[in-house]
Amino acid sequence: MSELRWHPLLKEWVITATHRQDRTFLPPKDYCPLCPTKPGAFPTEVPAEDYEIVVFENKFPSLQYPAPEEAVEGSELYMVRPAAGVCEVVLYSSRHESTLAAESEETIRNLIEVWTDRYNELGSKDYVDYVFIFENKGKEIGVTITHPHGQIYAYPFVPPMILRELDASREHHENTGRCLMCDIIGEEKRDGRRIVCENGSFLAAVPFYARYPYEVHIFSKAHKGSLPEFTDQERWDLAKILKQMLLKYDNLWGMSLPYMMVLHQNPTNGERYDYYHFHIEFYPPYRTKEKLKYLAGSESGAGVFINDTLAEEKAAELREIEPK
Amino acid sequence: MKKEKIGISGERTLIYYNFSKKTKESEEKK
Repeated sequence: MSELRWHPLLKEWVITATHRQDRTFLPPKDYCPLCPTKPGAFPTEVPAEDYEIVVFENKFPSLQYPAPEEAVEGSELYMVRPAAGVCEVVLYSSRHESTLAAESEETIRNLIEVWTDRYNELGSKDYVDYVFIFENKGKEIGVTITHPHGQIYAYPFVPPMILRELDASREHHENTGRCLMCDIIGEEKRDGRRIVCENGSFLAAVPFYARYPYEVHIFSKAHKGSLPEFTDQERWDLAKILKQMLLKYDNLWGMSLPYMMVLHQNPTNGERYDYYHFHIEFYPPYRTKEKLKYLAGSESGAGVFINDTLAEEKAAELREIEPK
Repeated sequence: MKKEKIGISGERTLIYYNFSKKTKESEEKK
């Protein structure tokens, strides 16, 4: 059973997906469903002895097409919609012990091409308004399978966080004639203290408004709204800065740092969003090597983040770390 | 980039993305 239920107070959709309760939970290495299928061994999700990058539809999807019948009837106040969409799993490597940080720049460059292909293909479906590419890494984030992988949710609506960014970007553009994100990049460059690293096409910073201690945003220096707009050189530069940033994270405390990585780009609902600007956001859940940052009362109940650190200090810390 | 789509259990789609040849070409460009 799966459906979209309208939250009338927050004016946003909640996805119910009760079948996901039965999904695979931290299987032993020899029974990883994302590894290649070895001769004589149990069949995994990938019926091949090896692979480079693989994408497949999630066995336990929150959204699917055609969508299953709703479990309940809606009303004028409590609206219900079919949970139509697509949930995909993106396998970065056939090596179970790998991570995105451990992969080569070439593999990350290839992954960017796969992301672009999925954005185009899923975004072209008439029931998909937004293609959301992300990775949850680490048990602390709730990852149920440790094999290196990311996910894609193709939503039948534009998600609320993206809507807020779009609204802010449109308002700024109407008031100033400029792109909000381009102005943010300008502000970060003028100040300089929050920049972690950069190359010809991208800039990574702990932004002024960071909500997590080690939150980093990677901004495209050129005003571009989505992955298909990037040139070959920009894709290489994105792969390089991603690799650099991930190595810095892993070298921060000498451990494979858990994080959420999310790509924010244009919706695919057929409307124009010339004022929006591509970027990637990282939210690592740790505030020190031993302490987690919890989304507690203020964050979950009031939507107010409390960051116990200064972005300027955390950026300096990350800037000093060698990306080796 | 080469794409190969196949069907897997539960009427789902799986796509193999192969780059071996492309990567060598890109490496020269890089």
